[in-house]
Amino acid sequence: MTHDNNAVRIKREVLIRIARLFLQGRLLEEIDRIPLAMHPRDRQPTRCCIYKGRALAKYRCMASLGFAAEQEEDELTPLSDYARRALDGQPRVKAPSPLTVLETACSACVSSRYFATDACRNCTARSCHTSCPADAIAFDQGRAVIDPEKCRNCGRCLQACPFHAIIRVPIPCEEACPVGAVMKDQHGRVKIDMHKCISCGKCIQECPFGAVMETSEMLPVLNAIGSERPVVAMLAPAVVGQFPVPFGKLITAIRRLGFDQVVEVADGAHETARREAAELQERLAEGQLFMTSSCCPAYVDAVRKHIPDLLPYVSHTPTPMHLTAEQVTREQPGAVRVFLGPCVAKRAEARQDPLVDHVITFEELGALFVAAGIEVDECEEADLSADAGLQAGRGFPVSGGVTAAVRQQLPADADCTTMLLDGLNKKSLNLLKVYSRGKCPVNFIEVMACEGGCLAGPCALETPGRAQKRLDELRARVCTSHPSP
Amino acid sequence: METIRIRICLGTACHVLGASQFQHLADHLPASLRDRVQIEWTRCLGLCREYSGQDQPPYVMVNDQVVTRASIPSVLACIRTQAGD
Repeated sequence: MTHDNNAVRIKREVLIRIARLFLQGRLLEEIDRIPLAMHPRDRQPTRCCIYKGRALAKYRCMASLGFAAEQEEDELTPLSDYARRALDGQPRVKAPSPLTVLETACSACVSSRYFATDACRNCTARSCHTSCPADAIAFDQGRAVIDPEKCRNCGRCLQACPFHAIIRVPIPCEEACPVGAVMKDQHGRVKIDMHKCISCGKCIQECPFGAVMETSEMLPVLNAIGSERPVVAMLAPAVVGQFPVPFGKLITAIRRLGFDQVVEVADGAHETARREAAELQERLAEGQLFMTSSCCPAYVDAVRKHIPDLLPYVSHTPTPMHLTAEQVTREQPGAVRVFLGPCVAKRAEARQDPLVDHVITFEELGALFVAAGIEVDECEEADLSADAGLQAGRGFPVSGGVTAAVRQQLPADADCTTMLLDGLNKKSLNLLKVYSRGKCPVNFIEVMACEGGCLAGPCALETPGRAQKRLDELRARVCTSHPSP
Repeated sequence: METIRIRICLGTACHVLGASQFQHLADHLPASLRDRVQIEWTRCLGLCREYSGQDQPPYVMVNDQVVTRASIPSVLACIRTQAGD
């Protein structure tokens, strides 16, 4: 789907409204009005009626407060109740998955994927019928009809029809999931098998009904900002091009939200590259054939859950987020460590990492700016570090960036071949399965769950193309204006 | 024929609520209007403050007219009206 659509807009609007009420100190009093304000009587409903819109807005508010829709016990529980619990820090159960399914939002897309359309000519040959192994095609009122109960989705009818009258209707969430974790219950509504799910967030991005959401950690972060403890923002390298402003202004804007310190995870990324290069050389010297990167949490989870034989080949080097958090903890014990990124899987990773307290997404960051009335472009431009290592780490969020940074750390004469698996899908997962048997044509594989890298993450604000352009500009500019030693 | 001036707000609220969709606006212009329309990306037009709290971004201005909750179809409709189509 395109990046900007109404489902995305609604999700962000909910976040903005909640953050605004929090900042105005009116969250408990007014949160129950959000569904009404978003779906007033005089606006055309997007679903069947305004009441359905309001019901869905309520679940979106729940997710934005940090609760999974599945946690609902009583439908009559008002949002103010959830908000009170959220302010008390309650939804911080370390749920294994950051995803929640809004069952009522799911449109229960048809389970039969093949349809005979009006283009059917009711021909004599009826090759669709003769090619069907399941006897699923009947003829009624002058055209072919596929019985969804019998259809096995083999697609032979589609190939057989000379009029292209049979079409395949994909189910977006199922199609998007690289690991087959999205299923349908008996009513055709979406269910996610959490034992298979790798939290990549592709279903969030692709569902046209916005039926899958992530549970937000915006409120605990706002709470922390209001507390005595210092709060440190750790910015994922993908942050650079997310707003149409120079990066230095963005840093100031984040400080203005109330973060006491802002650090770039690009620093940790550089350290990851350094250690990963050393680990790679060590492993190759020990006779291992190859090693894969480990910074993408969705990929590492995919290995754990779906290709366990590959696990010995995955680098043990900690992720940039972890290394950055380690440094922050060393320098500021007692600080609240918040990671800001475009990624849902990072949230799952952080829930396993005692050094990271919260994760907020770029969408949530944007919502916080809007709610706080901060115009990023009007902020003063903070000085940026031109440290060479940091510059290398800034390249991490683009596919190929990890490889480039690791290569830079290898001795010039190192004999090392590399490969990039850009985007997890059935094809790249199959390839990894083959390599897990110990045979691989290269020494180092970089794997990115999102095609294009973190810039294409499910919670990014900017299109990957534009974000990359700004990132390239920054890397070129900072390099030339402060030549590194 | 007069030029129709389109200003797309690049302010934070508009950006967060989807202004980047307009990067494709030029591709959607009908051939008859393509030469008459001038598209600019501007800094915050300040409209979010004027309509504060109503969450109407993204904003686009077509000449002097403000399009709230702008989308490519609504901006195109406004352009057509201004062009007297």
